[in-house]
Amino acid sequence: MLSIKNVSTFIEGKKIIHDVSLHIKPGEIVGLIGPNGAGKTTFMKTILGLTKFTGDISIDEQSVTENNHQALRKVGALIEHPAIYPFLTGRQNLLLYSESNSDLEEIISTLKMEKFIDKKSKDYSLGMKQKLGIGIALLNNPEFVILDEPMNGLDIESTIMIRDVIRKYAEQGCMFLISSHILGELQKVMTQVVLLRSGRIILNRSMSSLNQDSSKKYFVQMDKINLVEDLLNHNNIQNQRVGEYLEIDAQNIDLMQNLVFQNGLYLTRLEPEKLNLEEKIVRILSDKEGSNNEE
Amino acid sequence: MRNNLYQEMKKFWYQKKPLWGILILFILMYYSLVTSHHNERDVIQLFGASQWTLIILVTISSAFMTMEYRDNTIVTMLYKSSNRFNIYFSKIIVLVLYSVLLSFCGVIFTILEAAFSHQLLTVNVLRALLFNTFGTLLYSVFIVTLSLLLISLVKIDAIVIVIGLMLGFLGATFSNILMSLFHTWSRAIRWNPLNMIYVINQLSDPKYFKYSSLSNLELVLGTVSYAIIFLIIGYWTFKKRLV
Repeated sequence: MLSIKNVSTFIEGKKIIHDVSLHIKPGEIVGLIGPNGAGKTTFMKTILGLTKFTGDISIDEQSVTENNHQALRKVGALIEHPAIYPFLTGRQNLLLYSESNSDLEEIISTLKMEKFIDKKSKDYSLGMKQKLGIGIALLNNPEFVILDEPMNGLDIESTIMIRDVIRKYAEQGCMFLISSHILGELQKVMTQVVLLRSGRIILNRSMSSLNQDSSKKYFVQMDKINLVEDLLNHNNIQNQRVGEYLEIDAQNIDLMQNLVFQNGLYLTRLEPEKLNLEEKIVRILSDKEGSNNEE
Repeated sequence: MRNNLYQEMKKFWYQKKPLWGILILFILMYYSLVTSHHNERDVIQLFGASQWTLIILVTISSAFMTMEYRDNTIVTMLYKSSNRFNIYFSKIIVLVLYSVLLSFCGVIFTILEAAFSHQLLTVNVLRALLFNTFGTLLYSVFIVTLSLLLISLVKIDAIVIVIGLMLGFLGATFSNILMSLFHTWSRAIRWNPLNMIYVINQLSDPKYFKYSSLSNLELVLGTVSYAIIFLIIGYWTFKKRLV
């Protein structure tokens, strides 16, 4: 288990990460999102003991410090861009860090790198370099993997494959912390979402809870829609006509249903508003800002 | 530490630059042979191998460190390694081993070139040649630690190479100018790092004492002490450097 307690990071005396706490359990895939300059990469580097920080970071109850990386023995990472030596072949790059030959061969076949692995990596495309960088991170059966923008430069086929590989490793108990600016891509794999802004975690939610509670509106379809619209307006129930539908706040849905049935009308369709991850997060943030302003 | 050393060795040899270094050393020594007067002194001084070795070492040492930052491999190295000292010290060991190889090649090429130019290798010449090689090796450790210190400070290998070349060609002259300009402080100035370059020639030729003003033992101790100081400051700078 990864445990981060009250961590603050300092770069050249400036505080970049502010009192952040985060826990990741085995098998969890945490998506780290945030605008440019939010501190995502610095946060990832901090976990790897590459920056000056205060607070506690531990992996399986073993502390990570700037000068002691023993706890990182079972950690793999891809930070910023793939860390590969251009004068080495892909295989030689992997061999530098590999502890077992069978594991190395498995990584090569899992990431479908057989065709180019024995060529000099200076001739690789961005996608090939990215795959090799991910391969290095996944070497030696890691317990925790940090991936910074892993889908950069990958084609659709490779993106799907990497997604499957991440799921497979997570099923085996590996923890992931993945940052990406492609939210839709993250949404397909992550089990938890963490939003970082100005070095602070402003949202930390499981994907299941995010999916459950974020529908604030419902769309209603019925035969005599004009009649229903008048009825709702007459009873001061806020609604909005959107084509063949009426948009109604979730809090008014029971009230609306009672009115409709009492007046002998029937609903033909009632469905919650479907938001993508980006829209859900924007909504949560605007709610948060609203409640902060009220305070 | 063993892992770090293994990784550094592999990276170093796969680069091909070290092999180029040996080839360049041979070409430059051959150039010295054809432009020299074919005397005993040239053989003792390994046809300029000491000077060429230093220049090759500065170039390769600085490139060996800067590549880690250029290719972002420093991140993987740092988190995979239990501490930063292992990385820094492994690089120094690999470069010192390379300087041993360069010196060995220098001796072999010297013997071949001496044979080629029909020069007699007496026991005295061979002994002087070996002292010269030992001096070069000592100064190589000094140069390797200094190059890594400079690269940790200035981060640009071109600057480090220029400083290295200046040390190799002008260091001794500059040190002599310093000592003659500030004659009253010469007892202190003779310990300046530029003066340590005399360790290369003085061990085989005591006449160099009049330039260095240091005994052989003092030169050896001074060179080793500076190498240790450069190692400590270099490591400290490397440790503090942001990635």
